[in-house]
Amino acid sequence: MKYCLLFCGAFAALPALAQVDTTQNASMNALFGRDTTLRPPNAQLKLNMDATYDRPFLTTGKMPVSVGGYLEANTQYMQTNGVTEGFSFQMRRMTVFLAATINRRIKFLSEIEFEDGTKEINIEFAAMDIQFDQLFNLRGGIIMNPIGSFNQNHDGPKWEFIDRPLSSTRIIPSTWSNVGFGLYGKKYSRDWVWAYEAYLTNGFDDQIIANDQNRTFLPATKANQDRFEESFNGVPLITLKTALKRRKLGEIGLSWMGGVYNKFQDDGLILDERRRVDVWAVDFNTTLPTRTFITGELVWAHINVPPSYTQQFGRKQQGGWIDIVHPIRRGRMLGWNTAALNVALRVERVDYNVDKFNETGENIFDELWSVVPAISFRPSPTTVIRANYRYQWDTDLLGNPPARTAGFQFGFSTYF
Amino acid sequence: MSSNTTINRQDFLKTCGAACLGVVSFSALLTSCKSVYYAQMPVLKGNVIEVSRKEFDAVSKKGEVSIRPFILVEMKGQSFPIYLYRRSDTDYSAVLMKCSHQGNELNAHDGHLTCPAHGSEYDANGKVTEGPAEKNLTAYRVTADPQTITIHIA
Repeated sequence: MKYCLLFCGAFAALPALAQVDTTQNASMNALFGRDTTLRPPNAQLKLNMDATYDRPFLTTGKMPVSVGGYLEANTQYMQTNGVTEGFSFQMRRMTVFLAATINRRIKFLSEIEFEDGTKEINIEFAAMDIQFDQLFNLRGGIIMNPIGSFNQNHDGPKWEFIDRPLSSTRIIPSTWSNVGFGLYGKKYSRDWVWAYEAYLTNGFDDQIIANDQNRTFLPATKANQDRFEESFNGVPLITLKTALKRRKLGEIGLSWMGGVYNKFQDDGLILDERRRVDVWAVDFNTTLPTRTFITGELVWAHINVPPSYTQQFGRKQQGGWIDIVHPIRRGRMLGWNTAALNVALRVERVDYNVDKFNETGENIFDELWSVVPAISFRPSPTTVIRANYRYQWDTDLLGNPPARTAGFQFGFSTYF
Repeated sequence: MSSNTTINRQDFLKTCGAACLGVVSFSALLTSCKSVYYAQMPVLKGNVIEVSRKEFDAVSKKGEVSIRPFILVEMKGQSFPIYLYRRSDTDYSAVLMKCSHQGNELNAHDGHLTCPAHGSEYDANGKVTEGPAEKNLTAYRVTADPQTITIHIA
């Protein structure tokens, strides 16, 4: 009994230990809620066995980590050339964000993604940022390579469309994350923002040409789980991006990502020449005076494919997409004060093989076009309920009449 | 197959030149860095934080004094820093650097605050200029006399 009383007394006293010596009003509590810079003396490590419980996030009364995330789910009914697999429900992804300020100008950010239920679990982003200057920040860990706009800006609730843009997932392998280090910075003036990013990371492997797609397919490299442990060939992938933004007008970004994808030497023996993969992207967005938002991305890829591979493996790829989103009504709707009803249209193209047959001089097709009209309702800017109709033409290598895919999708995505 | 790797003179000189240029540029960049300035001597008095006006004076090595456009105020035990922005000699604004979207700490720039997590942006008054954040930042009333700037927390 006395032990019970002792335990209860100690438990009741815990919150008191954690209180900061400030007044108890809400504003002061909001400001002095937790200590991000200094650990109190009584939380210092005593013994090795205490380490498990002596972590900042387990300090009673303090929450040094910001937690959030987003969720997206949808229904889908598609048919190709009149043949359908019926009606499906899809749980596309749930993503959890964890962020913390470790110390002054030292931040930690992370994003853990559960795709298709738990079919894929990935650390998409887990990096430490150290700020020396607004123009000079160091970032290290698992980073999202800044190629184009979508790879870094891929959160579901930001988009009116259920499917991710095809060229950003089939040429740029979004979400494309790698282990590495680099720099980034921003320069602000009254109306202009200039930003740059430069990273060295692990990169591609030879699965981009040795895969079950029977074509050059950059996303196949994501199947290599070892890329977070070691580089496939020991040559870093370089990613550079610069962007210029004019307030109230728009933004344009130029980016390049390049490196060697093959294993050109092993145990000191030269196996092959260094075969490069280079990807360039231009991204842009603007808002018209009518409040119509236009955003898009164009991408070009060059892959040095060995001559022993047939022509169906593309040496050049290109693609792009453009989204036009027009708000037809904004304001108070159904009791939500900042609601919006939008109509939107996406036009996209992927050409897996930009080339001609050597024998005939005719175009190698292996390409697709897609048009997706959409209606979306946003109860608030962080939640979207969206309905899409997709119409897609897939043309094979030889340019036979395209396979026509069409269907409806309805779903939602929300930050939480 | 061969096991010998050779480098010709031209490649060697190119590599050396690039390395030297990189080292020089990197050093110049590092030395020119002006880190975000945190107020050295903020004082908590009840429900206000007092900051000396001199905290805004940046003195160069040559002794030249320039005015900082903003400073950060962070005291022991504070959850997030306060962004104290100088509009004029008598007019200041102060906002809490906690993103209203998911509570991440913001990055401070001259006249703007940005969230490294999802790209939300705010002006110096804490007003949202770029989503996904919807709510403005917590703003505090600021008064100033010739010696002291006072941030009223409550």
